[in-house]
Amino acid sequence: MSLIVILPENHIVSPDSLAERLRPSDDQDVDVVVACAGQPTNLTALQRSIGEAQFLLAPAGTSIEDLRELAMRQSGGDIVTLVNGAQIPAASVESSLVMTS
Amino acid sequence: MSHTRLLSVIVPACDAAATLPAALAAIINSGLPRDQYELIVVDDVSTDGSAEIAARYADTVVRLTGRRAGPAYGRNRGAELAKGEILGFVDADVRVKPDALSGMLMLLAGDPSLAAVTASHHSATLNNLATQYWSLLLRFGEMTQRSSGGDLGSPCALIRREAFFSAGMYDEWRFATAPLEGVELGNRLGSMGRQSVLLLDSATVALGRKNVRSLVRGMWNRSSLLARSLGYQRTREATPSDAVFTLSRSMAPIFAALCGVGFTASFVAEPNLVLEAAAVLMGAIVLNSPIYAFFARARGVAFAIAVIPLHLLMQAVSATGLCAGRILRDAVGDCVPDAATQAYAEVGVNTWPPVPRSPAR
Repeated sequence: MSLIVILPENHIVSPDSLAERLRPSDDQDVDVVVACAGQPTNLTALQRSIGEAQFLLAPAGTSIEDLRELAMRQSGGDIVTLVNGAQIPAASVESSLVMTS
Repeated sequence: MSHTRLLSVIVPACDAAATLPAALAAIINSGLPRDQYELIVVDDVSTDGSAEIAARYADTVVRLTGRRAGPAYGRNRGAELAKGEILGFVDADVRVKPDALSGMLMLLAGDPSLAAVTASHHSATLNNLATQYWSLLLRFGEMTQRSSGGDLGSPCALIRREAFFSAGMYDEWRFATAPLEGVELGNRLGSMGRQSVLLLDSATVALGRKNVRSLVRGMWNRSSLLARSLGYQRTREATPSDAVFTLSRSMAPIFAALCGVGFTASFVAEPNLVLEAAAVLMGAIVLNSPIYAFFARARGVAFAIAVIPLHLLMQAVSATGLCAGRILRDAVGDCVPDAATQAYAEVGVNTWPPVPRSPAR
């Protein structure tokens, strides 16, 4: 089984919810591919919570569909589940831009 | 991870790269809220990148390995993973019209006694003559004959989850190839007293192009399999709208005319073969006049005249296929998988993907 997490720009996935999805249900190994367009905001937290995941860092602006196709090529599972990250609220993006500038 | 959704749409795909993007995009754009359904694509060992294309749209992609097992097997594997209360089965080479899925869902929601709803074929395809002919042939059967059982041979069918599993899913043991697994499941649902309906205004549009060769091969497979595995009379009573019956309905009078002319000619010293052939041909055209009139209304007189040779060819192929299927049924028996598959199933080896399952086991 494979789990593909799609993170376009300004999208995020909570490490806790990811860990919840990966909780073994019937002793099956799940390989995780996280496909990001650009650098995700919580990359370090994700790497810490799912250490064995494969991270695909595509150029910023890569579309969701292209990320999904790229990640599918990298995944090896017979059953592949694809989930999209949630969009970061616009206010949060603006505040992070202010903080980094 | 296992929250329930209203609908699970399952699309079996095998080397469907040419039509899959349009088929899946049509489902996504069908107006249903995205959180109300999940989209599962089951890839039957494609070599053209269908799985990667499916990943652009789907929530789950199942990659089958080993030998190709057919759409019945693929749909069953998709259904086993599905979380929806209603299972939707859509072919990879059709485009569902924007309001089709929501209309079918509303019908199921409004009538709890209904087990399944199927969508009809749409006649307004802009493809070649063979594709248009095939769509219209299916459409003619749907419009003139109403099935007493459920015809789930439609390229888009919605079935209640409990009805699907209580009927025993698609018969993946006997039907390793399309296209009669849906007809068989519909007949089984009907024999259980479960009702299904065909929605004529919820249509699907064929995306794949057909040619004469593919039509002949498809009709041969359909007719021979129907006679061999389902039984002609029983299926005709349950699913009279099938294309095989649309073709065969006028075959008996045509055959009788042919025998009559041959019998008469045997009394003539020097029979005029051209005249007799012309007489039989005219008789065949007259007997088929209702369907030619339907073609003329849908596409014009020129189209109706142009498809006469194709229609007669299809009738001949269907009649021969029915005879061959009947002979095979008596001589060899029903369709079964190859010996290796039977042996694996007998031993009960637990693998993924699983060995095709026999309904008798």
